[in-house]
Amino acid sequence: MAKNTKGYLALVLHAHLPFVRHPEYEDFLEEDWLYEAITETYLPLLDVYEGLVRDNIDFRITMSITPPLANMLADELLQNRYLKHIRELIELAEKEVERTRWMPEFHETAKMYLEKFERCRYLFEDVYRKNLITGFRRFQDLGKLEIITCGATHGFMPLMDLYPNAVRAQIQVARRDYERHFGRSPRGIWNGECGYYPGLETFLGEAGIRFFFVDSHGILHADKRPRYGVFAPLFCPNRVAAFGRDIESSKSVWSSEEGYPGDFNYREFYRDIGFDLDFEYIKPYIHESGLRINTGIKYYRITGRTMYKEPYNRQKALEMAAEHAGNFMFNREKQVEHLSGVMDGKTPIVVSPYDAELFGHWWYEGPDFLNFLLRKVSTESDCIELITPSEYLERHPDQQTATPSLSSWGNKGYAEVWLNSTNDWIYRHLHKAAERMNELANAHRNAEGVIRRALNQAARELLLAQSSDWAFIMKTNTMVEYAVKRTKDHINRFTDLYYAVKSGTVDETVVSALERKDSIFPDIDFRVYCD
Amino acid sequence: MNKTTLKQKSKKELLNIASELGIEGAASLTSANLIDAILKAMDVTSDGSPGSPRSLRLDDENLEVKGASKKFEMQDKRLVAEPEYPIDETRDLPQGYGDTKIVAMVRDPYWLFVYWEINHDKRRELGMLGADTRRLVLRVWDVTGVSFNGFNANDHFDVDVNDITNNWYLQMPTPDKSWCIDLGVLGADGGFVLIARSNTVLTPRDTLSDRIDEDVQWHAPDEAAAEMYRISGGYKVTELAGSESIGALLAQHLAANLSSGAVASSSNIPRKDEAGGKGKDFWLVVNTELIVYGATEPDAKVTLQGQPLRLRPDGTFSVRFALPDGEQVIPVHAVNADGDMEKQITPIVTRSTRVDIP
Repeated sequence: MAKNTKGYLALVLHAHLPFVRHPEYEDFLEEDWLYEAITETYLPLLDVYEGLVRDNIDFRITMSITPPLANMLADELLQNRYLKHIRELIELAEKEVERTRWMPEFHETAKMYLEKFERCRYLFEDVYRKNLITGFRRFQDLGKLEIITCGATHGFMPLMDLYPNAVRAQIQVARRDYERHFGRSPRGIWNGECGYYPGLETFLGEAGIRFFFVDSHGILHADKRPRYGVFAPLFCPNRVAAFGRDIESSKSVWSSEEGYPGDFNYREFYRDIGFDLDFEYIKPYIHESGLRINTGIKYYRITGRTMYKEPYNRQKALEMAAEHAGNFMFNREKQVEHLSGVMDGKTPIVVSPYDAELFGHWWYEGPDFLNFLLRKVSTESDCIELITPSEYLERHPDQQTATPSLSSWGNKGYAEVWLNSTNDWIYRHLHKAAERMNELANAHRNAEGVIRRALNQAARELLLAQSSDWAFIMKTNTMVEYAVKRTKDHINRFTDLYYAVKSGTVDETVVSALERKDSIFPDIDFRVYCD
Repeated sequence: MNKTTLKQKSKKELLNIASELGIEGAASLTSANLIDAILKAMDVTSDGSPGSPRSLRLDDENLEVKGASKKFEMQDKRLVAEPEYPIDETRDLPQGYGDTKIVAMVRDPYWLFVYWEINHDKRRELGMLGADTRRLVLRVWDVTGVSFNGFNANDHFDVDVNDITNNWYLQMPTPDKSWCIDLGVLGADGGFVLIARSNTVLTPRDTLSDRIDEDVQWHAPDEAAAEMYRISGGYKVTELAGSESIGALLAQHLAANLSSGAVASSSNIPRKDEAGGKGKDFWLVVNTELIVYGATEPDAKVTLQGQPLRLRPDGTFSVRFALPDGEQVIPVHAVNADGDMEKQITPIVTRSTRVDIP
């Protein structure tokens, strides 16, 4: 459709999971986060993109694939474990198709799961050869998907700013890792938790990164009044661009109250056969300890704010997803029409970032919604054009210069989620480790052999300790124990390596054990921490 | 160090030891409990084997040897024989690092977080000055627009804190200011004795900047700026459904796999917190399933209700069905491998449900 573009829509999906990989356990619950996200989000998204390309739909979307996620997706152990996981799910779904034969209200849904799981297995093993990175990369190479990076371990930068070397390392390690996976340098970055502090752009610029995102008030409260609000990026004084989040479009998807995902026709998350069915029957598909867990097979729709739940109707749910996509587009059209009237002829950009795992894992029909939306906007809208930030900057190189304000997209908009009485104790340790890493790197710049390996490992441990996920989990008050343990483990391992290097007592077996255990960033170079 | 020597120490000394041993919550313990916790943390094991590396924390210098010497002591209780990190992984983190410092962090436009540490030497020095280290003071300097040298701040205020804690949240009177925090103590003469000075932090502004771009192209006069602010959702920033509301939900979903109590749903019963959780409640769910099983010759072809059945290598089969109310007629039909002999057996099952209300 010939467009008379009045505004741009930049959809941004932030795909991230913390680095969870426990070779020492056969069945480790937290690894399921990855397997669930692959089945429910990453593969369905790839499938959506495949379909769009096949149907010649000229779409644009931006995704951050964080370094921990990329490392897990590229990890052979986890790949093989996923394959085992999806095969077991197929087996369970086969049994479910049989078991529900006399219950037509569930039978169709059971067949849907079987079909979906078989498709996942096929895509994962036969199409992507177990490595989803290659799948995402293909769409980037086709110019449809812009993949951006994130701090090496999703560190929350505003609480790291005292240690510039640590901030630099988060960015530089991420950049190198991105190059390893995607064969070019990242143009943009999603800073963990959308966290920004004035000055961060220096390190982004050093790494060749041209744009990042901030929450709305990051732009609105910039040091100079932003002429066009969040509907145009600001250039930091070093020409790195900051795009601001649009609240209206965010709310329609994020809000658990008024957002689309709460529609009563959509699938209910909390009713899973892992909890609902006879123990002996479900036992092979839950945790080996007998702990009941989500299997991913769920037969009910949200129904309402009641305990009583009605069976899921896939057809009806898809109709709602299409309707919501239409509604989203309609609202954006109205929005840009209004904006183009008050922006002196500038073309507004509406930036809508979401957690990728929202689509599919939490909002089961989310990938279908995206599919409908991308198709509709590409083929039906005469005034909205999908765009990536890179393309936007190429077309509109002239922007206002101002420094955004410290901000994040967490509750209340600043650092409180990651700095409160549940998690504030971690920072004295994270800071000390950052200081010590800098000290080690400067003192052992030319280290070789096992000392060098110890230093590289120390860098991995520090980075892993800095994952914002741990502080976040402590705040949300679920599985706090795991988050506390991960923080302590990585700090302790770091400290052990620190003293070993300092005293010249590095033990190769210790270093090897840690290299296998915390195997993120295989080609890290600790010298990124040198002054 | 044993129980007797510990008993001779003051609570302050015990707290210092506890701090170095990484004992959490030490400040809230009585002296007797503290001694127990210290002995436990030192962990001189009953079988006479060397203490765990934790005990090495008593002396910072000793930490240097722990990497090499503690190998192979951990009992491997894991499921897979992976090379294991050979060091005790249940250690707590130390409460301090032997530094004397204070660090300030920005939480939001209105709050700062500060943490500090005062090492032995500094405490001794303060003691000699007659300073009462139990009464610490945070002197908060407004250093907006100045290069602070200790004497040129715009303003300051003091906050009394105690020495039982080592961190504090400070509420700030105004956003968009630079702050520097001195940790000090009141000396014998009542004067402020500086212990450590923090980094300088700048709190973010919480509203539109006063600065208007000099470049006329980006000039945003009051009215235009206010309108742009409004359509950008500026007045909704605080009510925004940020990543946390759903992000937290997501985390809980992911966690639903982990904590057995997180999802207590059984058939027809959603999570307790969804059900309101108020008042007295009781529930019961009963479902039925039917297993149809049998055996024939391993190479026979079998159908159940017209649909092919998979036989096990020994010719047995078993199918499980959710059994709803009503009658199920279940013909099981088998044909031999040659296709010239057949059998059919048809169970008929009826389920009806009665709910008895007492």
